[in-house]
Amino acid sequence: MNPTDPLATALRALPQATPPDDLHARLTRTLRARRARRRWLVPATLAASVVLGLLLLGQPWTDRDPSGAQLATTSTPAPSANTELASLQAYSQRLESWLAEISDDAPRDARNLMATAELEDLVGLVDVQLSAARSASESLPLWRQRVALLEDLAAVRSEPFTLAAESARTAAATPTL
Amino acid sequence: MTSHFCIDIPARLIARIQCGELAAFDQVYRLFERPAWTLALRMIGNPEDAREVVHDAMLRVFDRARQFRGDSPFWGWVRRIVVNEALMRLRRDRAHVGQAYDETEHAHEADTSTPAPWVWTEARQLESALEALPALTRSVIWLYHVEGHTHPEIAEMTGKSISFSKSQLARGTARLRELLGTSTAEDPCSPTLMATP
Repeated sequence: MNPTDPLATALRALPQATPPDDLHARLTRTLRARRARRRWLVPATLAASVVLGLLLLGQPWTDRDPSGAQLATTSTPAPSANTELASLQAYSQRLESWLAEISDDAPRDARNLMATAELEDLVGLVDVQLSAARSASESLPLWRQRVALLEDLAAVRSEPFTLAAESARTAAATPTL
Repeated sequence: MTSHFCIDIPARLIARIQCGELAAFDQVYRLFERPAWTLALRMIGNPEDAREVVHDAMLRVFDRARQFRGDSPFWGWVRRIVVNEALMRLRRDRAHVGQAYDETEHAHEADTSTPAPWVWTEARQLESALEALPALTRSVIWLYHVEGHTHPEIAEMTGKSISFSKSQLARGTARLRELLGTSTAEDPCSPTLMATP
């Protein structure tokens, strides 16, 4: 850049454009709507997590010792459950890789950003629960939930300007289990 | 005179935005609204699309405030987000066929025997001439001359080569000279140049 270039001087001397009146109001509306939605969504999710946790605790686990402490060596869910768990984890990894590839290149509108942020929050909550899971049997439903959320996230991210429509096309473009 | 974006924001205000405080973001938004709008409008050329660019860019500023590490000025970070949004929109909008001049063609030799027309031209005429340029060419000129970016920086932002940035600057400048020279020499009230939206 040459600051003494007459063209630079002339361009810099141009008056700033006046933004439309509704620009600020629209952004404020978007941010408030997003916040209001999160206000009930997060507690609702937490409540659902508590209920889920209570249900899980009510199950007669076969892989716990009588004192309730987990024995890693005896954590042996049924072979079919193990298979499903491995499959879910692999699928989850594929979805995450796919999401990482498309992450920030696609332009997204406010609704899309809002939905993305909410789904990412929910995935984060499931991850917290997963980190507290004491056995494979406990983590299996959480992995199912995580995969479902990642699928939703993939659908939202793959169609930046429509949140719900064209699910068939999205399904074709995203990895399958 | 430097970019209109050069607005120092107190670290405490930035920290409040990073905590998700809407009131703090609102203060910062009001400071940057005008420069952001001007930059988006100059680059895109279309008020409707510029509106989307500023809206989405500012949402991104709020959402990603925590990623701002403070190793560069906050205004530069905000400006980069606005530029990226605008460039993304230009890339996405397939209607913008011919957004730039052909890189392989050389600019006409500028007639430097007379003063450049922008020395005496009116702001409104210069704005109209700018609008007549292809969007990406206009963006390169604006990013270079007004926002002070270098050719390597512009090349990196646009995903093009350094020679592309240089050629757009040269060809765009030559075209501006043609448009303004014609307008001022032959018909100062040329409808093409006076018609601003």
